[in-house]
Amino acid sequence: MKVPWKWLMEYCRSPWSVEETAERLTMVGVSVENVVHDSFEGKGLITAKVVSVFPHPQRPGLSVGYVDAGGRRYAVVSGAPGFKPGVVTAFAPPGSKLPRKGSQKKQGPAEDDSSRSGPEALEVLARDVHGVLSEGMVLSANEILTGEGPRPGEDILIFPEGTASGLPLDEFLDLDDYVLELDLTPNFSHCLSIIGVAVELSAISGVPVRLPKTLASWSFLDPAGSLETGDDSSAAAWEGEGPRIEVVLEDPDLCPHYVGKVIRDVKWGYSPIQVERRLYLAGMRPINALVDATNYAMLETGQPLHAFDLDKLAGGVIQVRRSRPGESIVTLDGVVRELPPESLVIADARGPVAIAGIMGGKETEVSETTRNVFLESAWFSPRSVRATSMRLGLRTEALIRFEKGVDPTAQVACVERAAELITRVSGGTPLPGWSRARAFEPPRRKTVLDLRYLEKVLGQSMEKDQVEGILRRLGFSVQDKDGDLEVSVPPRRVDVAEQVDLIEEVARHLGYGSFLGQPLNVTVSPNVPAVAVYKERLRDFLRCLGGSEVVTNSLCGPDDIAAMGWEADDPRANPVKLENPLTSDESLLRTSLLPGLLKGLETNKRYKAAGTVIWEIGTVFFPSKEELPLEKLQLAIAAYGVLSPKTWNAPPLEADFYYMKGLVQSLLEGLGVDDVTVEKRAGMPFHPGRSCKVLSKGVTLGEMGEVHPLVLEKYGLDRRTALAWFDVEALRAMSREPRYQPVPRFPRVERDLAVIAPEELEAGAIERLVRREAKHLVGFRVFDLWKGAPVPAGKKSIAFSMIFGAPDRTLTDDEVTLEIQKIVRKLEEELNVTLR
Amino acid sequence: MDENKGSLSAPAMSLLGEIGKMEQSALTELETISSEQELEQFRTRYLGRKGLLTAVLRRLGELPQEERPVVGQRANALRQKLEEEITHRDEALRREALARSLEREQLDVTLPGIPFRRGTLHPLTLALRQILDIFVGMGFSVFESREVETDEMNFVFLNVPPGHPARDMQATFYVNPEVVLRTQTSPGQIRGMRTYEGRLPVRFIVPGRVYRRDPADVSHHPVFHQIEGIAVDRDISFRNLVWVLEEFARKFFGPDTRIRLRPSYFPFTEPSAEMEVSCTICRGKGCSVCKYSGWLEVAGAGMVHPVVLRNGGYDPDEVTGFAFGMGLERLTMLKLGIDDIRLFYSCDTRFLRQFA
Repeated sequence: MKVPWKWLMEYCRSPWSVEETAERLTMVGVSVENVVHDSFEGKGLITAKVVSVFPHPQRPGLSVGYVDAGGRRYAVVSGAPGFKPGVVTAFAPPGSKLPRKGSQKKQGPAEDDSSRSGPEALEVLARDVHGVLSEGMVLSANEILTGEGPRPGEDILIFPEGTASGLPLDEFLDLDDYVLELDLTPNFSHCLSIIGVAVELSAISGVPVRLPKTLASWSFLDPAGSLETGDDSSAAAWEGEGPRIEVVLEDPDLCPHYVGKVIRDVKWGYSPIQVERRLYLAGMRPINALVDATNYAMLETGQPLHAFDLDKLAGGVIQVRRSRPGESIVTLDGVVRELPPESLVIADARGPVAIAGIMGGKETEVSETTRNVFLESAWFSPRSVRATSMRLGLRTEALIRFEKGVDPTAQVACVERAAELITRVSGGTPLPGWSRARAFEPPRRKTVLDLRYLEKVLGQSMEKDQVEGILRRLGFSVQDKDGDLEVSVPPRRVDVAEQVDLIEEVARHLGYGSFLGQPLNVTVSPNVPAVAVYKERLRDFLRCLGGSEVVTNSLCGPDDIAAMGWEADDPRANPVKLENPLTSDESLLRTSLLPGLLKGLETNKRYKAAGTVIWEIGTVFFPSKEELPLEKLQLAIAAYGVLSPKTWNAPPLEADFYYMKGLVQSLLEGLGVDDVTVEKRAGMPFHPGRSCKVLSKGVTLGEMGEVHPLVLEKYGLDRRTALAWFDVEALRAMSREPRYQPVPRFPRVERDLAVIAPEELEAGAIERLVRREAKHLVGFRVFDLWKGAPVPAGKKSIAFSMIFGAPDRTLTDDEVTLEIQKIVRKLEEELNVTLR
Repeated sequence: MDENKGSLSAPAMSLLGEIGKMEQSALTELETISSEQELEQFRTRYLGRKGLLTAVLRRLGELPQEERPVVGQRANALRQKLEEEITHRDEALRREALARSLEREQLDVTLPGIPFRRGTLHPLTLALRQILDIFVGMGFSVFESREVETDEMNFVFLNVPPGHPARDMQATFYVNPEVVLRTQTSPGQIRGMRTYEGRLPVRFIVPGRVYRRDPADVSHHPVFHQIEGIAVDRDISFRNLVWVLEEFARKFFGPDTRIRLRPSYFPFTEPSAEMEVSCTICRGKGCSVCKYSGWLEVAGAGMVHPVVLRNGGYDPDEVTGFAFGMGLERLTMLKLGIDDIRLFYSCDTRFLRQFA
């Protein structure tokens, strides 16, 4: 909503500057996003009197005349019908400037100086017009406001007789103005009108609202609303001749109140320049005086209105009804629109003539040929018009008001106001009374405001008078009821339904700044869930291990899923789909953190990182039989490339299987996960020969390993890449809280063995055997591995170190030797492993 | 001793003379010794069992009884002196050797050290930890709630029935007509309140991911994070809300931070407020970040709407409550001076490694 300042001031004169007014409005909830100084772009334009006019020597239809611009005379060529001696008009002398063309079209919501760049204002020069030098131009309203030529049928401006020559036009026409650009929350639909904003301003400043007589007489602002609209219409109110319009409410649930008003014998034309200027400032485009009057009244009151050409309405009937299957309409903008089922339409005997509350039809619009006008003023169901608008993808100024709910008592008052504005400019005779149908009696809404409750909610005591005063200034009426306040709500305040709404009215006009903080005085011992604590423990360990935590999108696309190479029946290949994604890339809920991390590696590779380690803890989603999908917490780690480059004194550290395994082992150790084992071969996206499942006490916790080359190729990763992922709940179940274990008091004995083993034998088999057989074994570590000469083909040499120790004594050499001998024997017997 | 010289026998005199010469030559020799090995040889030659001085001492027996102590003392004095000299020399030699070895071992200290990989936490994690600490310190429990929600939980229970214009404020992703990706952490208010089963006081925060159907740009991302807070008790007031928000702002942005509340609209609170803090960039003077207003919007807040209290299992005639919600990304951006929300999701370690 854009509020031209001078227009607002007509209804409530602010005691403050524009900026301060805007600030004060914002602080009561009428959020002013921007204050724009809309200075008139034309420069040097003046009033001038036409002194004499002659036919153009070359061109019939053109005239040459002298104008007197306050002492100076100019010879001017013009074809305007109003260019006649004695007329005072608008004049652009040579060297003056007109607004650049199209300057009024670009009125974006975020108006600042940068968006106003573009062509410069148009300088007017003396120029030759078919052999006659024209020293400047006489001007139409459109030229003055937009820099473009006169519209069809538009004459030059003609000022009242006696207007002086040489007056600066912007001052004379009062064109300079400010615009308050409002960013209203949905509950502030009562400020979708200049008068609505004026009421708020009045409540802040104490300056009363002044209304045009037509509106004032309808008690528009009172809690009672405009209920005393005489009787309803009826044919009895018709006078004179011409078609009679009967209004039929076929679907009173969607339209319970419809008012039509006929104005006969209007003259077609354009609005006065001041009206057009205001419409532009308010963000609307002037069309013609008839349409402009309905828009002007809408901006003023918040009640949308529509003007039909009465003579184009067929059958003397207006039906307000749901659309019928297959019906369509050509709307004012020239677009053919299929009407969605259940759309509320206005129809005549032939069919729809308007989409109720959204846009009128082309066929019945007012035009140059219009003589008689049928004005519509109605109340439409917000939900219905909103649903239709969404289905059509069509939002209009009318809809924005109807969808929030307009004052259900304003229809008659506002149609009268529009009729008044029309006759003022276009002449014509409004017929007394209305074509009207009403299927409801707007309820008078009363709410009791319990002052003790108000004090409890706001936390401070309030004077009753103060509360009453605020509510009264906002148009509520207040009566004492057993110490509480019985408050009547003005019908236009559709947002106020219950007590808390009144409390907000009081609080916002008291000023939120007047509430001083008061400490919470009840002590609570807060509870942090174990999972949340565990997540932070995981993060701390992972930070120690050297990667960077990342946060990636929970939304992914079919390409991400496909890139992983999961089998079709893998749950991870069957994600939850969004019904209305923005893009295909973000159309699914992730089933794994791995695709996001691989993309993250790719990003860093693109930035020329030699190597990257990143990790994430986040939710993954799976379809479920329940109403809501399954949400599981996952941890994943990804490493790519050279993590420490080769230096002058050390070899490079690469993101291979063993790097990831070491990282995972450290993590699990830190978390207190015991009995960790690995099982070769994890599924996609892992390398089948360089991956494993990770288990604790036989329960699978996750997978880790290097990435399958086909997957790497999809992400353009050309160096070693390793991944690991874990189910956080599974990890948590296997994690143990640290508990003190006695520190060994007796020395430990370390023995090394080097053995020759079959090449395919896993080191883990040796370790398992050793751990099973050896008494007092407290540590086992493989420290060397060798294949090739002098080890025979098909064999490998493995060297490992074992640590022995007893909690209660120092082991003797003999004891340890016995253990070693047993191990050596068993290795040979069971695994065909011999001492080197 | 000198006055006795004249009275000594010739063999004694001769022996003393030998000792004197030995002393001179030994001391001279000692000065030329440059290794511990030579020093050991020197010791053996003079002081060893077959050494020169030992040989002299053996010859004491050839002297008359009364002269032996005199010569013996002289010989022992020399032994003692040589031992001391050897020790000194030894220490000097070790010092020199150490100095030489230190000299040999010196490094180019300008060469780089071994690279240790310092891990980093995400800036959102760092900020969230700080925020949780602040609220837990004020007695708020932590409640984590689901991300995919029913339309009922995300909207209807929060006083946003179908067709409500407030649904336009948040572009929603749908899984099906009844299931949405939560557009706010507010459904956590209902789920969280219900876990209290009517007990008082209720006081918890809900951190988590939310989703809006907005294309990504410098200030929007379809996935982002919020922190929701709610307190319900017999006499929770708007002024309690003001206090909590002020405490938070001062602890998170610094003690000089001022806050300002202005009326706003959320269907689930009434009265509703937009919370602004004095601009963290310009300190309220006006800059491009605060659009020259001196204030930054950081949170929505208000008194819990009776409908929401009822849906959480509380009687609005008995209790009142406040609630607030804020964007984690926005708070973090303002605090750290980050100008593009997309950086958080970029995985770009050049960005991420700045905040550990």
